[in-house]
Amino acid sequence: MKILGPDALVFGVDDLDACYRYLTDYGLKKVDSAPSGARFEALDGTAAVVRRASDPGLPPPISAAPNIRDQIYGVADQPTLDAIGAELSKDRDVKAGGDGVLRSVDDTGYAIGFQVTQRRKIDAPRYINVPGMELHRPVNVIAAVDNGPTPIYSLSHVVLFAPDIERAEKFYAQRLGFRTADVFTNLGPFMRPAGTLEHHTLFLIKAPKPGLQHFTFHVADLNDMLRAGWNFVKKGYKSFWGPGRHILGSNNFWYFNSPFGGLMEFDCDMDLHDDSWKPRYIPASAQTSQTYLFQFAEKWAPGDQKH
Amino acid sequence: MRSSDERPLCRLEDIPDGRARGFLPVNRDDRVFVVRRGDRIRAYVNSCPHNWRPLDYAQDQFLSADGREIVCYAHGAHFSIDSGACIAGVCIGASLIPVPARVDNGMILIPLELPHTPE
Repeated sequence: MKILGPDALVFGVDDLDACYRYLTDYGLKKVDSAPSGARFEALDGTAAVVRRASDPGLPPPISAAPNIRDQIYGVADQPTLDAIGAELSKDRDVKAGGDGVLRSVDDTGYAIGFQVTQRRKIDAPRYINVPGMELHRPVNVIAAVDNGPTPIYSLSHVVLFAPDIERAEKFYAQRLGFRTADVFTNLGPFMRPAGTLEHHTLFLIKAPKPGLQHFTFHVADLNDMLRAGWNFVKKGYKSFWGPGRHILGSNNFWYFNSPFGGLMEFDCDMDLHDDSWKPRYIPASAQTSQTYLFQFAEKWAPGDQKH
Repeated sequence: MRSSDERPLCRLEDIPDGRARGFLPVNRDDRVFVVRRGDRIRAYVNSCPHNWRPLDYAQDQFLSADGREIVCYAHGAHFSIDSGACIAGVCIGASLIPVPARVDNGMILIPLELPHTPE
């Protein structure tokens, strides 16, 4: 089953205007809006969708609003969509919506949908110079620019709480063909669907109640992640954890509290794996969660008269 | 009257009715927040018992949009304004740490020494 990863995550919220401001400040582009909500896209067309929690068109809530209400996975082609429909129909309702989305529910109770992916191809510029690297940043192109919003490239992953972690993992592995990339033995599995090499598009965490833990889009590189996070702090948003670099997945991270019911992260440079990869099983701790961790600090420089 | 082991935060009317406000920032996080409903106030340490991290996502954003519950905007736990008990979310059964607060001559006062927060 060539599932690529989430094309869109849908949130039921109680303060639409605050969520619109937050996603705009994050760097996503509002592409359509109605009284009941709006869609915010990254460069490749993947999206965060915010709707009023009371919207009767949303799947039922799994926890108090605001929280995640729907996940729309992009799949490679129609045969994959048909195969998912046939597989899930064996033991649960599957409905084909007028919007081309096949809708069902996972074993924790999270709504899941599938569509032939609507991702657009992105042509990323060459950002960095590494000695010996041929495809470097072009001559006379300046890297240290501080103007304008940071480009947000693509929806990366969602992290969900699951009370029955073994059952939650088994559903994605056995029914939808997800691979377990690595496991935090005291939390849960990092999983990637078969249509992507990304270390994870889904991370499940054992917890007493279901709900959103966090979600994130990819930015280009570490520079863009630090610049995006810096500007986000300056706009008054509260940092939860970061900036740092994870060990499992290697992704650089910076997490912020958000009005969506879980954290929203800036993320970049995740590892890629294929099926020859053997999962690591390690307990999560401060030591195993990051290679390094920094904290935001105000700008400072030595005084003009000092040397 | 304010005793020597109390500190003033602000006047009651400096917090809009039905809203919350954060106080005593260290770096960029407020250590304490106060919720006002009419003449009544509740104060808590700004630390969610789930991960012991601040609750707000932006300055003074501690409540649900309808102002009826405290919300931790890290992982979506909801708390009773009156009791501080977690009523929905991942730390159900746990509680916010209350800060004894009172209003004296229109001034909100809390103890100089804040309750201990686990790590």
